[in-house]
Amino acid sequence: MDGLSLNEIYESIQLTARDKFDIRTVTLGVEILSCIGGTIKETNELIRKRIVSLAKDLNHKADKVSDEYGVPIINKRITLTPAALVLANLFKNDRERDLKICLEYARNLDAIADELKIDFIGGYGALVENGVTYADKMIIESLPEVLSKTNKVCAFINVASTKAGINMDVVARLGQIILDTANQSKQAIGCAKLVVFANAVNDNPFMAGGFHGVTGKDSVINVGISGPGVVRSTVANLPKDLPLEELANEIKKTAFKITRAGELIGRRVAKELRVKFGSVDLSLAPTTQVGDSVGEVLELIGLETVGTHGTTAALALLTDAVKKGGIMASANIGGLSGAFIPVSEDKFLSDAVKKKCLTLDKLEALTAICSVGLDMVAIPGSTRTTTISAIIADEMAIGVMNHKTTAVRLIPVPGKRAGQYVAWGGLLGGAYIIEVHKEKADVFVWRKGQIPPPLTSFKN
Amino acid sequence: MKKAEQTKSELPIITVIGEDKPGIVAQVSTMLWKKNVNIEELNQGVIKGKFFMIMAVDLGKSSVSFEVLSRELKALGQKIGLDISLYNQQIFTAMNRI
Repeated sequence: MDGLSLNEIYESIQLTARDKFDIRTVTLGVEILSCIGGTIKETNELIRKRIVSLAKDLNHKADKVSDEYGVPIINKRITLTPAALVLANLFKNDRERDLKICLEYARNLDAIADELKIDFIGGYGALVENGVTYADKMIIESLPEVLSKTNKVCAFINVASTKAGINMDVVARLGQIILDTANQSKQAIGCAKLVVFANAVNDNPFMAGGFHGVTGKDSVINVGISGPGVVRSTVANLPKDLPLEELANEIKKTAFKITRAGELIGRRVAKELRVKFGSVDLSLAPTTQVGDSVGEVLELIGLETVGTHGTTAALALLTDAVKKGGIMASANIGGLSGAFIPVSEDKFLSDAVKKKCLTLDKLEALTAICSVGLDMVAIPGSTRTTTISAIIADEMAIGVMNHKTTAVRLIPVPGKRAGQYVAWGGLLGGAYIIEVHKEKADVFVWRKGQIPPPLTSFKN
Repeated sequence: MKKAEQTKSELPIITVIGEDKPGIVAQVSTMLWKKNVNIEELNQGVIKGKFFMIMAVDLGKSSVSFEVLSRELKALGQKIGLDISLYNQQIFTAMNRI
């Protein structure tokens, strides 16, 4: 048995049984530029054929591998080439007609997701950090209708990068788009399927922001592991007075193990589907289940309630240790790789918002050192569109200046005030509405234009 | 995994966890014997107060597939009140060896 001891095997089994270790998502990225036909109907059919031919066994094969290795694979998903690139050739500079094409395209993706029994299909989006093409504009304008009339289509807009700066024209418009989306969908759920990015990556396996980048392969399997429960167990079993560098080392060892498992399983699913293996995303991704919370890990490190002073430092230690352990484990680390802090999907974070210990300002500070950003944050339905845009701009600035990916998934919930609760159920969980500043940023936002890239981007 | 090519470090592993009681080894090994599954290595002990046994098994001469054996072991486990599972050994090696 390769010298494996009873204890090693027992502990490995316990990671899934006791600590809820699972593969959060196996995501198949598919290039679909090659499917562009003369009409939207033809294009949709070519896309359907291509995706179905590659992904028809995704569920079945993932389940088979999951059984063989004893590690559950929770979600199977698909990411596609950004929609603005796919649809550009089909638009005819006729707004009404072209918005209909957008909806037709998205409904086709929704139907494909249903047919393949997958929960989300991503890539409905555009990369606009340098400026907006007509096709990009149509995609952005179509978001409220597409996100409220489809169930499984996920959207992204990359509005900023360290190289280009921040496209404030789009940021200003997105404040309105997000509010429109909230008003058009039940309990604003459409907004949970839209991520606004700075420095978006091409191989993100997680939804809602995942898309298949144009610099990648024809098709690829990327894997997102989940492990807050495993790290929670590691930290909980260590003495309360263990020095932080030793605590970090123990987290590294745990991250090593789960990354190894993630890579093994990802490679095997890729082999079964006869597509290339891409990367493992190390991000600690919490779920609404008890014992699977990043917030709880931070509290176990020694904070009374997550969000209090010390939270940023504790999250820095956690994120860094997870990365170091994961990078030792695999040469194929990619995606976002950090720690997710999706407020509605993490019970401890959600409770801390209720106690008003975790505020929007503190969440923003945390995003400077974790992997994503303001994720699944519910705000009052009466929030000004310019305030939404300003929150996005702040978050983009953190990403741009720090050469990292940041993202915003804000949900202004119509009719709800700060402190009230909104329940979406399922994977999305529920959240207390977080307070936003009342003071306006209207003049700043409506200046529009481009926030120039930082000096550090001129390295050539 | 082609059956004929399996080396010792690639053999599937059966794990058994539960309350210690007489006849566990006998019941599991009888079932494996009936299916012509060879036990190549066996190790058992008590971990955190529970009986824990691991077996590396060779399915090379057996007509039963990994999936079928896995299902039948789970069923046997339910019958005799133990958690019995079959794993591809690679998962343990990957997680515990650099």
